[in-house]
Amino acid sequence: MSLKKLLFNRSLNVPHQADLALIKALLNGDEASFTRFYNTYSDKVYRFCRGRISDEANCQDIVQQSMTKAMRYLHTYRGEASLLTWLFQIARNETASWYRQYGKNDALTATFDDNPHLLATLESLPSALDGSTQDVSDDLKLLVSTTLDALPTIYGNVLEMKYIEGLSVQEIAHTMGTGETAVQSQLARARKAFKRLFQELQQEWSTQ
Amino acid sequence: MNTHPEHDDISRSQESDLAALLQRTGKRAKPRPEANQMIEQATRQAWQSAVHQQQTRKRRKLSVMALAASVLLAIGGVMFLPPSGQNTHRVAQVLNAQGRVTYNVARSSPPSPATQYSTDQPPRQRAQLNAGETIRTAANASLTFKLRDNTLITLDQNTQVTLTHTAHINVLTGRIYVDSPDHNTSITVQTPLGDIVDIGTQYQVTVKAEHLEVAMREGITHIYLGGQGANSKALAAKVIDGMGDVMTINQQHHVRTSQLASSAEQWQWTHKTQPDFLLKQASVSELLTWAARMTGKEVVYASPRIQNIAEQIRFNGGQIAASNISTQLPLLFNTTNLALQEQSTAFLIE
Repeated sequence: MSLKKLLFNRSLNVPHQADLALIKALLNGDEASFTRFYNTYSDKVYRFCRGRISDEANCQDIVQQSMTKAMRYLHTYRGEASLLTWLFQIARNETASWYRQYGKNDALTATFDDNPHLLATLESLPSALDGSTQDVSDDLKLLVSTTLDALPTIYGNVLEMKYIEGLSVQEIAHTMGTGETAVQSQLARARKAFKRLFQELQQEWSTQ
Repeated sequence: MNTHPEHDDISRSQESDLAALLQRTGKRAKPRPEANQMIEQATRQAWQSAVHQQQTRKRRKLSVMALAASVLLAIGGVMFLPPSGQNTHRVAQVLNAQGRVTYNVARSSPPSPATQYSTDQPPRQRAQLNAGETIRTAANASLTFKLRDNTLITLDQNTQVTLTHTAHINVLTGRIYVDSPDHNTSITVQTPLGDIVDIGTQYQVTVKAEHLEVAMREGITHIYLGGQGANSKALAAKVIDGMGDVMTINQQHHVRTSQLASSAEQWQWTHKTQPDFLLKQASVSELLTWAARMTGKEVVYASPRIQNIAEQIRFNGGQIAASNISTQLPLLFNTTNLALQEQSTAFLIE
């Protein structure tokens, strides 16, 4: 299975019905759907841009441009790719546009455009993962961050709460407003999903 | 990290590795709260604008659809509705038809002969007739339909009529037979030379290029030459002792009157498309009443007791056609204890 499918198009045989439903609710003006959309995707888009733009303020501008542009073109989303992939595509375009506007040539982006497979793979990863950085821990950090972002949102959240923040299952259940059994079940699925995806990403990265 | 994808969960040591990995990398980066607030605010404004534009697109789409529907309705109205001033509701039910009968909705008044018959439909597909509809029978064809007041109208061959409304028929050419059993209602038969109005009667109207003929079989009709206006000339046509008036009126409104027996063979053409009489649960008396109306004959009971018996006896089933009354009626009476004598002007029951 290609990394692109693995990351963002796990259900290529069927349209992204859940994403389409969310977009439909957004276009109908549903406030709760907007909150859900923003909380699910804004940080991921931020991290996507943060890996490419070193300046914090510039990154925020690009994220804002990307998110507002996504809102303007909500009605064009057809569910052919996941909503995350669609948002990343917008963010990538905005990043490239920013570089063009401010005279910085982003060689990495140009290389991506020449190779669709590579583009699909690396678009999901921050630019630091191209090996340009000497700090291995930063590479690992970005890889972990990308893996967590590629997982279902709730999986990434429970893993962070459990293993980074050190919350107990009971505390996570309280935070999420759910039962302990449900949290344990989600943790089990999240661990399994993280392990599989992280391994795939490592292998994909090491072969490039 | 050691992995075993086939397992449902990871081992405890793997979990420890995972915990160490996540603790080493730390939480994922997030925008600063104030920056996030600004991004969210801008995104929300863009979202609200998108919602507004989407609603505008929807309204525009609905408007276009409504406009298209209006156009279609208008086209449908022009194509299928009768001329203005005429009702569109159903006014008659087709009971029986023979031969080729054509139906159409007239588009102009008076209709143009060249464009009058744009729709030909087999009679069996036309159980209902609408106001404004023109019906034409071909050679050797016949049609019987029932109006709302139970008046039966039979069209002879080569006849053309227009159902103006539920109690108004315009005969353009040919011959029709009117059987109006209800004495509380009347219909108007309009012809080029005059209108015929009845109150519960049986008669026929023949319209030819040179004259109008009204032949009475039962009751009385009034004929208004030149229509029912203030200057029209009224004639009364009636039936006395089984002999009905036959009034022939030419273009100059000259009237010639002759007589025709109610039971004469000239009426038999009306039998062709008359609906059969259903015998199930019908009494002998009811059968005789129907037969008398079909043949123009009287029913004469030998005594009140015989009449009472005729009212009590009921048939189990079956049907009888108007054209077979003379042959079928004796066979039916053989199943009863009554005797039937069919005479030229009456059925005698003993």
